[in-house]
Amino acid sequence: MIVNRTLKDPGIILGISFVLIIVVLGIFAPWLAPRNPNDQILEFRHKPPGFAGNIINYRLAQDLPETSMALQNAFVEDNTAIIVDVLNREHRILLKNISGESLTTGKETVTFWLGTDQFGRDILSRIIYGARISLMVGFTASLIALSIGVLLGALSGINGGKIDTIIMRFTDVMFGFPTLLFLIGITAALEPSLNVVFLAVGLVTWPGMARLVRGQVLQLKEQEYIQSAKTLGISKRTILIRHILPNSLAPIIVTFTLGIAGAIMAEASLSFLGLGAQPPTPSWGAMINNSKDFLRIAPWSSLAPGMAIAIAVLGFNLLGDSIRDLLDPKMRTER
Amino acid sequence: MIQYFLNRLLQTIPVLFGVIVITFVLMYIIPGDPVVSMVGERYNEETIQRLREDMHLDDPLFIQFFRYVGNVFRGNFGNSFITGEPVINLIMEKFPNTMMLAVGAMFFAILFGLTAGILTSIRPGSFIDRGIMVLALAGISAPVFWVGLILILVVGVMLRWLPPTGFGGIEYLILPALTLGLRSAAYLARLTRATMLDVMSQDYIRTARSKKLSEWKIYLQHAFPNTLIPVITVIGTDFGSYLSGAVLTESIFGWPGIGRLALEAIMKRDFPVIQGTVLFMAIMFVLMNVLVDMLYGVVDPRIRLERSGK
Repeated sequence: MIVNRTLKDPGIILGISFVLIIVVLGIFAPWLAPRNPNDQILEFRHKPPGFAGNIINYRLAQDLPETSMALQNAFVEDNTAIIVDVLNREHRILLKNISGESLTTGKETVTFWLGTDQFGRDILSRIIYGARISLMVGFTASLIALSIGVLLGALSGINGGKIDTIIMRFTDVMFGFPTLLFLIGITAALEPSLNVVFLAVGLVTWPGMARLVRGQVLQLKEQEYIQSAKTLGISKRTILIRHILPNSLAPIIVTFTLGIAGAIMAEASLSFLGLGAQPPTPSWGAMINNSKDFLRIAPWSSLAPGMAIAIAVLGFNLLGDSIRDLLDPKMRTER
Repeated sequence: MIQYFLNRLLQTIPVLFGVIVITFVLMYIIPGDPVVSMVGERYNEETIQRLREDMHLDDPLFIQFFRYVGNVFRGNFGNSFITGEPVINLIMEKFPNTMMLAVGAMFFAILFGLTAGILTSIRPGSFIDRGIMVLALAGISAPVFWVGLILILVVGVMLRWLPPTGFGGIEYLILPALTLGLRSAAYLARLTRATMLDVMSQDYIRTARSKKLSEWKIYLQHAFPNTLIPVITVIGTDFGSYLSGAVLTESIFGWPGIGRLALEAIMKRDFPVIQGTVLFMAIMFVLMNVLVDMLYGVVDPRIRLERSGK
């Protein structure tokens, strides 16, 4: 029944596919990415999508000036970067010519499907690794928000009275700040890093969850089966854990899923402002931040990561919306 | 009505107080000595001691807090570490620009959002409906800064229709306002559609139809006024955050508003400006939400009655 309805809804199929793509990219990044995301080939800066470049690797046992000279005089076709590895320390030089020296460890042709950025890094590989960061932020921050929100919301709803008033006033204050501004304030006060972002997003976004859980508890508290459980002398805690929370699971899951989308967007925004992931971390927001100055000459390096953010956020939003519609067809889809 | 307004105003007092506490605390969790970051590298003990005394930094925390609250109420947000100018002057200088951008963004949001919402609700499930709704969802999910960059690239650089960035006449306002308003437009489109669909299935619409009123008349006279509620909701959720500085949009377009002021202060670690702008924005946000709640009360008597009854 549910499966049938699921397959008929294009929204949930799209949502699940987008989420799956991001999750698979994130988990299998080392195997899926064609190159190391931080590997710079300065010769290949700002190359457009689909650019195929030759890379010739040389390994020298010692630093021989004459060999380097020979390499520098060697003839090379266009689109070739030569990576010279001296004593396993990599030296990279752009050569216009190549000699007959047979020191090459191999010539490879690499296609940069999404082009390269201003350091000659492969954008596709960076986007694939970026999925990891987005997923990590999404889940960690959402989990933090979930834990705080459920705890405070349940405390508030089950106890009522003063505890309820204090907690709800506190959530009011938290709601008093525009989310992004609050995040900017926190990350600016501390040293910007991804860990700060994880924490800050979680600490700022829990009030929504708290209000939701409180509402659920208040509503369920009046139900007859909870009342009879109370009459039977079952403790508040048991009632909460055994009866109330399992029945509020649906809206909690929905809020959690939508929270992931929100957290991914928040991380991207902060990193875009330079207040999140620091270079060379391949965070999508940071990628756009670093390449926005080259928008005119290399628009692809800003466009591709933005697309990735949109797909990830859209995926989790659609998934959340669809879960809500499936679990409760009466709840109308809003935002 | 007055009772409802008063209640709503009273409710904001603890919120505003909490906002002040949080901005105050924010300054104290900053690692490093504010005085050291104020005087920079070339400092000596004497200057630092003098400044610490000037700023009363050695007083007990709660005395500092009450002094801070007092200053805030007198409109004194401190002086910039860098230019020495009063923070409130900096804010007041930039705020009209932010206001202008916010109004522009809301204009586009309502224009596009309402049109899209009504168009899609005429024939739910049709091609137009699905297309616009997918676009709306994409509009909600696409990062603002990315949309802004695309607009700069396409409209500003490639087509050269409008100046890509900067500040000046109305032609500079269009792109940032579109960028900022997009999310609200998308949200409003979805909300309007849902409201219209709901309204169109009500009994009084069926009555109007059975009276053989023309579909257009039903739409415009009977159903359309109901879209006022989603419009206010969107203004309520988004206008406050526009006014509180569209940090991302302003930074992309080089728009000299308070969002950019705050961001520049963060980059220069100009703490009084950071604290002042954050506090100012949060106050604007809270006040805006109150205003919108009151507007609900004016528009919808049900809300007014329900809330003042408690």
